[in-house]
Amino acid sequence: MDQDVEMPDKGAELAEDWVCMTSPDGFTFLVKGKVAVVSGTLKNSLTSGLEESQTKLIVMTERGVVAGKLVEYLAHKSIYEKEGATDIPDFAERVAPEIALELLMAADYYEV
Amino acid sequence: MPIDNKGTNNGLRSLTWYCQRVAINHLDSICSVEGLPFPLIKCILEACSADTLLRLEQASPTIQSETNEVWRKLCENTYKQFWSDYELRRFEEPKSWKATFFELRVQEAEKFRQLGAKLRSQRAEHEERRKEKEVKYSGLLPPPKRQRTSTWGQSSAPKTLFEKARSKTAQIQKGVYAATRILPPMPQYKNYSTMLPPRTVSAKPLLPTSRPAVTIPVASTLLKITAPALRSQMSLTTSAPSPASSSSSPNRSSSSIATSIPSSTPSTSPTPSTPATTPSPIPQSGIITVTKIMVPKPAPRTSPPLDTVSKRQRYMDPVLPQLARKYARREAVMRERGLDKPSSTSTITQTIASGSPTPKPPPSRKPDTVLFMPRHRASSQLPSRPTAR
Repeated sequence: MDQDVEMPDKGAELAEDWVCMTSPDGFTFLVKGKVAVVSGTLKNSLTSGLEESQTKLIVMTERGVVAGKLVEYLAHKSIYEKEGATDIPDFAERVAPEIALELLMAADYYEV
Repeated sequence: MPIDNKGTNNGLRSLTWYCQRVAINHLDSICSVEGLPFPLIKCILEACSADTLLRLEQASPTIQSETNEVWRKLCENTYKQFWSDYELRRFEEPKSWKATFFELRVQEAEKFRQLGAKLRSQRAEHEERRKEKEVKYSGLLPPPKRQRTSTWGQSSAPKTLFEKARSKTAQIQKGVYAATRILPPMPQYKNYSTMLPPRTVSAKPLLPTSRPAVTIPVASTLLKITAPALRSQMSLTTSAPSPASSSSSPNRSSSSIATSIPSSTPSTSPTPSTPATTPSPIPQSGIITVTKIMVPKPAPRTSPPLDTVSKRQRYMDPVLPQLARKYARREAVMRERGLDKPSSTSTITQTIASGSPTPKPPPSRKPDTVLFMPRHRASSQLPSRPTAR
């Protein structure tokens, strides 16, 4: 087996698949693959050939509130990151000050 | 402000950026930053005040070693004078900007305290000066007024009530009559009447001029004639001269007396020339009162105008009969009272220049009545009062 095996395009497949994101406090978030790959960390996890890419299950360590806000931002960004988008709403208004530092840490971890 | 390295070109910011901005907006709500990587919270700490930073350092000791830069920035932003001196290399970089910061803070507080004290003192002085000029209400009585010293050198000792009243009345008198002393009142124009007759228009002198003298018997006197003597006289003189004869001889010097012997009443209206009357029986008492007087007309003058002469005569002629009547009345009164006394036999004649009246006796005047005299005339000019009634 000297020939390279062409890996199938997982990004296209991932875009249509659903990814399940769970929090330790029992919250589960199902997001589209194209929304999940907005996060650099999740994109690497889902396309790296690791267990997450096989199972499409992301186990998060953040609380459900923080995970939900994170998923919300992923969806917000997947909508407004296209070129030419105007009248972008301010997401800071949607961030509660009580979770700002945790969300900051999660946002830093998930590279969003 | 947080640095967004992950932001897109169209203005969409990263979630980190949004979270940092929210954290900066709620710095006072942050209790601790323990466990957070310093690069993430550096922008948040740089946005903190010195007190918040100090609090967060106390709450998160792990960041104390990494906040020197933050303190440096705080010194740069807070004490610009110090920073300018530091940039001019006037002194070395301090080891701890945190300590430097608090030292500068103490120095600034001291400076402010001194400035505040100075301002307070200036304000207090200003207020004090303003209060001194204000009107003050107090229950104390005002200081007693200084006694006025009189210009005449009077003593300024407190006066009694009597002295005060006396001085006040003196002042009032001086004030009331001062004006009268300064200027005499203007003499009024003829608001009084004199006893003398007015002068004629021709302004002829009252004094008589040189004229032929005419003897005019004037007064009537009491004659004490005995009865036989009177009878003898009566037989000789039978008639009185007539008015025609009197007018024809103006220069006659003799006098003619028409005697009438009143029984009890005084004579009435004597005429200048009376016709002859039948002699009445002579009373036994022997006192005869001569009442009727004949006054011949004076000789006409050539120089003076006729109108003035006639005027004078018309004015003067009634005087003599009036005087005669007056004296007759007086004598009658005296006779009634029993005060009459025999007088001398001579008649009173006066030689007066023609045209001028006989001098009349001074009018009887009550000693209390005084002719009106203007105030400005001296008392010496007042007419002399009659000595006896």
